[in-house]
Formats: sequence, C-alpha cells, structure tokens
Amino acid sequence: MSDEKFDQLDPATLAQSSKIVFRQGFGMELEDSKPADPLEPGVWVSGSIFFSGEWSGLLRVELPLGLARTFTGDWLGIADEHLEPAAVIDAIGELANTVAGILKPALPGIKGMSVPRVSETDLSKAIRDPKRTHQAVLALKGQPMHVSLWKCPPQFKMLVVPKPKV
Amino acid sequence: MRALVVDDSATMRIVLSRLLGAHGFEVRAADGGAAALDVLSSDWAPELFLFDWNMPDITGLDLIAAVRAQARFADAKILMVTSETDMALMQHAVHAGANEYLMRPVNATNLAEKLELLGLHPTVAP
Repeated sequence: MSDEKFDQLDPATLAQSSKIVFRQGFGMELEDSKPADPLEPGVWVSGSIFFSGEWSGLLRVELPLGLARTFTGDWLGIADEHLEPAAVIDAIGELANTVAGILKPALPGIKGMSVPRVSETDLSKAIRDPKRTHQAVLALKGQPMHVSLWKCPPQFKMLVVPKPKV
Repeated sequence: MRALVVDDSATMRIVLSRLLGAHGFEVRAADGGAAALDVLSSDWAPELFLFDWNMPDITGLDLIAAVRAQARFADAKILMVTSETDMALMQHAVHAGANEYLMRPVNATNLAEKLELLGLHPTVAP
C-alpha cells in the first residue's frame, strides 16, 4: 500500500474492527471516545501485531492496566485476585491478534501477521507522528482504549521484548 | 467425544476448552507442536482437532499433515482456528486435510455452527 493509501485510511475502520471483535467475541459494546488532554500518566498495556507485505505496519491495542485486568478476568472467568500477570499478557496479545485479523482485509497488500507482542507503556510520554499513525479512541466500561495503526519503514523488524511487569 | 486444542495462547486454550466442554467434549490442550505431537503418539485418540494457524514452533499445516499421516485419524475432523482472513490460506489448509476453519473472534454460536457443519452434534447445550 502506498503512502497515499495509508493516508486515506479512516480511523473509523480501526474503531469498527474493534467494535466487531468486542461485540462478537465478548458480548461487550465499545463506545467512541476522545483522548484525554493531557493523558494521565500511568501504566498501560499494549498488544501489538506486525503486518508485512507490500508495506509494513504495526497495530497496537492499548488499555490501562486496570482495564486490561478487568477485561481478562471477564473473558476467562477468573476473579481478579486469582489473575496471574501472564494471563493478562496473553489475553491482551490475543485481543490484538483478533482485532488485526478483522482489520486485515481493509489493508490492501498485507500478506503476513506476526505473533502478538505485549509490553507496558506510558501513553502520556508516547510520541505519535500523525502522518504515520491512525488512531481510534474508544471506551470500554467507561475507561479508555486506544487502537492505532503505525506505518513502519520497510526495514522495520519486530523485536522480542522482555515480558512486562504487569 | 474427545477434542484436542493446540494453541500457543493460554487464553485461547482456556476459551476453546471451556466452549468445547460445554458441548460435552472431553478436551485436552497442547501449547505447541511438541506437546501436540506427544498426544498424537499416545493412545488417546481425539475425534476433533482444533489447530491454531500461527504458532512459534509449528504451523497449522504441519499439524494437519501429522494427523492425516495416521490412518487411525482418517475420520477425525480438523478445525483451523485463525485470525487470518486470507481465503487462499484457508483453501490451502482444506486442501491439506483440514475440514473447516473457525474465524476469530470465537464465540459459542460460531463454534456450534462449525460443529454442526462437521456433523459433530452437541450433546449438551452450551
């Protein structure tokens, strides 16, 4: 996909893919929202999938740690006090994987999807170039969830990152 | 009936095992190729296999080949569970010996539909 086609991608497509996943997979409704300004600092969990093909890019699904734990517990039917960090990491990776699969048909020229990678992040310190990033801001259970697509240079390689302290 | 779930994601193993259990299946789960091949070499013979497409140590296609290489699994059903929406890939899997594919997000309804298609009628309401 050319830069021009990437520019024309509608963030609503990201939002719609995410809404489909939550409705069909989890029986939950996502709401459209807006980013807080400024974003409050804090630990967020980020699940990423790398796309490759005629262009390369990264899908990120990001949510606050507390919401990530709530979502994981609801999905797996595990009470919060019994929820291991590894379960949260794996669930957020699978969430990103599922959103990526739904989104993929809207990304012409994409052939491959990586296995998920999960890390912790502080979105208030994140730098996003609007020319290379599309973002949808949604809300789940009244808390924010960001879904973004990043255009990566062709030489970009997805690195294995250490497991986060969740 | 017995079902083997092979997925590197613990989340998907839990979710699929729970859904299949609700249909009355006796379920075992393997976290990758090595564990799956251990089960395939044991006496425990599933009638249904659910394979992830994309795993670090083995591909779903390799697992299909390992199952179809054994005559005792000639009538077993293989369901690919995938985020991939590339129809060519799915056709490739079916050509290799898979019976059906289940697109994520997986839920009780779309799994039940696939079990019906495979002639594996649920014995317990999900």
